[in-house]
Amino acid sequence: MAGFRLSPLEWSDLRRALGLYFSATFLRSNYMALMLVGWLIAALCALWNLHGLLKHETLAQALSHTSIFYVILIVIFVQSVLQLHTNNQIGGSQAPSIPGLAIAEARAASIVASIIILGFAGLMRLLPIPFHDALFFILFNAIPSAVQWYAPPHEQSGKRRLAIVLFGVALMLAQFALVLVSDATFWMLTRPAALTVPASIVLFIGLIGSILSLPNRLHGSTPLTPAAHEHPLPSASTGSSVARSANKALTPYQLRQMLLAPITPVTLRTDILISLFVIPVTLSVFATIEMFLSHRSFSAAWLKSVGTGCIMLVIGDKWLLDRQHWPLLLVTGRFGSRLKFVQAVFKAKLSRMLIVTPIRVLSLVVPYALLKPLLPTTAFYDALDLIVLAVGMTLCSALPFLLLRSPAKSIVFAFNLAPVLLIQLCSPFLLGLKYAGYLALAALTLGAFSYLVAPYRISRSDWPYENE
Amino acid sequence: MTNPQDVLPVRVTDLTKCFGNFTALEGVSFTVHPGETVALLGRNGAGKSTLIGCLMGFLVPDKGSVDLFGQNVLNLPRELRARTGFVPQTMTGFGAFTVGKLIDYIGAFYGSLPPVDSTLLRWADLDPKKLVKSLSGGQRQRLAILLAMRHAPDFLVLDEPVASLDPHARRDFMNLLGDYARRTGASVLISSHILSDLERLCSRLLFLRQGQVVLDVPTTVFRATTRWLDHATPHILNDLPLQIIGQRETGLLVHGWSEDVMLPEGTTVSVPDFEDAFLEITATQAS
Repeated sequence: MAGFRLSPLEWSDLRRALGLYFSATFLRSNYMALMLVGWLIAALCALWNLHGLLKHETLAQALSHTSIFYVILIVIFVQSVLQLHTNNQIGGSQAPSIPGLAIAEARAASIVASIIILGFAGLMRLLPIPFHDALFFILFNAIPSAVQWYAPPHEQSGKRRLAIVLFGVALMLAQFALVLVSDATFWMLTRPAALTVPASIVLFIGLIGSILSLPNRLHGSTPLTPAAHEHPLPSASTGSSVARSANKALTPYQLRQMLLAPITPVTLRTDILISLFVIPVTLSVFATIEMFLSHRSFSAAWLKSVGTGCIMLVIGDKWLLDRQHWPLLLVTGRFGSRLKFVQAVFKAKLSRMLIVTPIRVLSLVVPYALLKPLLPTTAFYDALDLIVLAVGMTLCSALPFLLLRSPAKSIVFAFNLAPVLLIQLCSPFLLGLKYAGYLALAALTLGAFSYLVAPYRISRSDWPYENE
Repeated sequence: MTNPQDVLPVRVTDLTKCFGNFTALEGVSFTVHPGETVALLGRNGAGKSTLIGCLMGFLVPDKGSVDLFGQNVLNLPRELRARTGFVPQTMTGFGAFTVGKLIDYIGAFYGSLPPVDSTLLRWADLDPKKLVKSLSGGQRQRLAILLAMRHAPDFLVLDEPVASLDPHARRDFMNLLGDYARRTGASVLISSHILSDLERLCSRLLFLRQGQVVLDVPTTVFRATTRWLDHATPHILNDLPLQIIGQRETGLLVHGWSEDVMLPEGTTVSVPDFEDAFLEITATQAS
């Protein structure tokens, strides 16, 4: 590959870029690194479990009792961690002007990615799963990441980049659907070498090629003032519409919900609509795919993917991670003192959750109860348990602020993502109502404690503003 | 055989850049010669940052071309890229590096460099052990300037470099930049809204208005030939070798004036303040 025919200067660039992965700079700049450890432990546990099961079960049986999904998640997450790291260097405003920086970072990332992929495939060899099958499985699951790495030459606008990112996300969802609701994992892990070796070579070249395309991103995604390009100064004719927009009154509820921006949809109506349909539609799509792939009945396929439904109760929640808008809203004076401001944030979050979570939970539990079928009272308790779990766990995201004055972004990130990992493990569908009930009560107690106490701590800490 | 004109540090030819339906630059052409210090002037949104983005090869032109040292900037070889330096409006990224480590890390991409120039280092006044993300806005900007200048580039581009510097640091930096350009013969292109700095430092003024170059003139010529002509109207000046570059209620701002130009009787001539001239030249019709 031309990207690896290097001059002495390029070798030295590469060595320095690789050196960053083994320095404190890597950990300091990568707020996802801590979470990576969590996912890695989960993935290793899943592999260990699979290893034990394979001693007395067939691979097909063992896979049905193992959360192999964590292995897939770690494959994706590792790529995200590498992307964040390279972005911290080549995303800087001066980076495009530094000769050789971007390609050195891309080469280093491709080497680290290769080592991790080969290492993981080697680990799976110990299970034992043939190396070529394990490699194919890992590389197949890295396809969405490869798409997200890719930067087309001379990219002209952010729109194309956005389209690529969205395509990557769509691929990832399709991949989740395939892996979660079908026997695709078993299929991938049992293919003959004649298929997996050439396929792995193609996928490997694709992934490395995508990573090495990174320097293309320096053309087009200018670090200068992108807002000025997309929103030139309003002319006299548009000025009035700006004024009209600025004068449009927000309801007190909308104002409070701005505290949760920019992640949460501002209008409650949008959120309710999304909440009503997102789980049933997604699980139905998953179930339909599985019906065709594994000839299960629709209801059996739907019930199998209920764990994914649980994840969707809490997914996409970064309310304590994205706080750059806090200072801007605080200085409006609309919410009072710092303490009152933070309390308003928590109140807005709780009120939104109390409206939206029951809708999401019902959209999951009602079809589940009908398809299973469950007694109405059991379904009611399951639903109640899930609501309490989701609300409690989300409020627990504030726990780091109780323990540390200004917790690192990586710690806040880990606690924001933890409910996604935990909720399906603690759900009544997996543990039964009794143990899930205890856990829900524990989550609620901790959540309530952090709801009451965390605002005092956060109001006395530094808030991110300007460059975090 | 290389055409001597190709080794110009900068040659911009008929450059057009659009973002969707918005044309940020239209038909911009100019060159920068070795040792020239060019001020890029214009209102917010006039296209200065877009022009700088195209000049540095961060943005891809829709039409026209940008050549640095005789090579298209989009295919600039490493050794020519290493002869450029760039200071952004605000420095982002590299937050997890310490200042010292970042200076070493970035510097190494330019090959083996001598130690950082002591004048530059003294001016930057940064603690090498501090994390970049813990620096103030002004300190970060000083670091950006240090990173852009430490390899002694032949062509230095600065996009509003002094906006976040305190008056002491700003004045010292402008002196440092002037010394650097004189000492090394480097070409400099600088965009700033601090007009007094530009007037003092730059040998040439390039005015942008709504994505087009409206005036490109040596600073000395600008000072000598730009005048307010009060009690004058455009049609009276039709036959005179004057370019009207601005207008106010009582008269016109013209370029090309000299003692030899015979003006209509009753016309009074006065020297414009540089800021007034800027406001007139860069004013859009709506304003």
